[in-house]
Amino acid sequence: MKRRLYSLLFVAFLLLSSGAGYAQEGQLKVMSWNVLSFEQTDNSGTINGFDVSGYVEKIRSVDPDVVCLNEFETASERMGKEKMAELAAALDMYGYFIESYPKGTGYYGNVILSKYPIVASRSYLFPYEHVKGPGNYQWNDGDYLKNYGADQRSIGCADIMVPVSGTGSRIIRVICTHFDHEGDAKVRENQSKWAIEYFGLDNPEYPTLLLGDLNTAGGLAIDQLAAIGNQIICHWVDHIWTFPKDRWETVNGDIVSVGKLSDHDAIFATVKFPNE
Amino acid sequence: MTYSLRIFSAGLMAVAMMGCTGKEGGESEGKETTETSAIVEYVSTLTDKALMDNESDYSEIRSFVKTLYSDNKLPLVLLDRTDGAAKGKVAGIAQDNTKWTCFAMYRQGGADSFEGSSFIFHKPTRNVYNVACGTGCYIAGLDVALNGNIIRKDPDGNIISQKTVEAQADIYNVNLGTSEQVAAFGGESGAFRSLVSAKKNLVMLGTVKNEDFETLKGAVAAVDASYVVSELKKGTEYTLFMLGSKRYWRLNGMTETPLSNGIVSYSIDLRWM
Repeated sequence: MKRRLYSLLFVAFLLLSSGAGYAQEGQLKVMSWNVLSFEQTDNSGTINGFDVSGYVEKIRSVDPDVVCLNEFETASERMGKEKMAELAAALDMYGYFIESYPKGTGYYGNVILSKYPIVASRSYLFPYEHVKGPGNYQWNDGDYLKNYGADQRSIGCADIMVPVSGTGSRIIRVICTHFDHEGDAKVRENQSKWAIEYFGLDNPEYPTLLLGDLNTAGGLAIDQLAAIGNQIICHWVDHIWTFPKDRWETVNGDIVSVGKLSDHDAIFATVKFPNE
Repeated sequence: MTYSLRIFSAGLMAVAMMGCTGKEGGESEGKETTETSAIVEYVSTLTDKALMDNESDYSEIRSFVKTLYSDNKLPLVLLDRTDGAAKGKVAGIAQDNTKWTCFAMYRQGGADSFEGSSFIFHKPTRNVYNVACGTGCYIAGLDVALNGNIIRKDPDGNIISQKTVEAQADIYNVNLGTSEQVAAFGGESGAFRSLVSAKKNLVMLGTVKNEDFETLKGAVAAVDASYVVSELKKGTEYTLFMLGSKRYWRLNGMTETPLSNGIVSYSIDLRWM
């Protein structure tokens, strides 16, 4: 789905070392990517049956431990297959689907893929009202568009058992979300506020990463997150954040050019999580 | 046509939906009865052996699950001991059938080795739970859309009508491999107490070492006597059991489909009340 033009390419890449005292051996490589429903920028998805092989190869080239994918359409008439299982099988990963709304025979939302077991997961629908009433999820209009956004959005987390030794693991929480793109800034501010509330990001239960397309690179939506967490990388509107603030250490991070696969490049970061 | 409901005193809803004046439960002579039925296929060797650790077994189970879903009855499938190495294989089975899956982790077996089972279900789930149960043991739970039937029968047991329903249920799974884990499961501060405090209408299907089964029964009864642990099948190492409150869940019956290499699919027919 095409979005409004935001400002020109905006990259804020912060290499944080403030948590040096907490730096531990355990680390994760995470990747975030808005895959544009596998349509590809030239709409060739409609020609090749929404083949995911190019996406598999791109993810494989980064070799992340965890991936957050936005604009994920699956099992609908045009997709045919359940795309999360297809990706998970090809990449040998676990998957968790964060449903935003049903779409024909299938669904639309976000996906978390992980090399390590997802031992618990939960997701929420952001509060939303449609001009045509309940049961409508897309193409909002008028004041409803301004106040609630274009379509139903969601957020979810996977609690991932990351091994740190032969017998020990740490649970790391990875949140994947996609904020609204067409409503007023207040919509994204609210979605940022709800993300903080749903997962207690000001005092998280586990070391937590938040990944995804937040459809903004600044403003109150971002300031709220920055007050309690660290932005590891932001490219255009795609983000990787860590919580609690100043407890993680960044090893590296970069942008991954994806060519015509999507209108968003992917981003990745390797981060060391706090010991306690 | 499929109806949706939440399993929690669902029997009342079932009767209302059927427009039936008969007694629920199927045990009253001379009256119409209403029964409920939902199938969970539990594929297991009832041993510590990992499932699908060779291509032959994988191929057979893959084919078997495809058959299960071919008649559109949409059972919940649980593949016991699909340890971490099988995650891509499980995803492949889900892909074959346009179904969804989640991993029920039991324990960490090594630096990069995780033991557990896999649920396969027909709609995405929002919630997967995980509760620690002693050292190196976890209970997994799933808030899942369970496909089932409400069956109305005449006094002679003939089916008058049958409706397919989709019931949202909390299904749990555990593998209790040591007596310490059974001890951690029971007790006033144990995992079971915290589970039923939060989810009274849960049903658990799991495995326990044969020698610990009676201990498990006693431990559960000591915590809450309204919950019952029923033996479904005793294997060479593990006993397959069902745990639930009689108020909410009963067993209609179970059939077995033997596959090769000691693998059996236990078709567990659950009745919700």
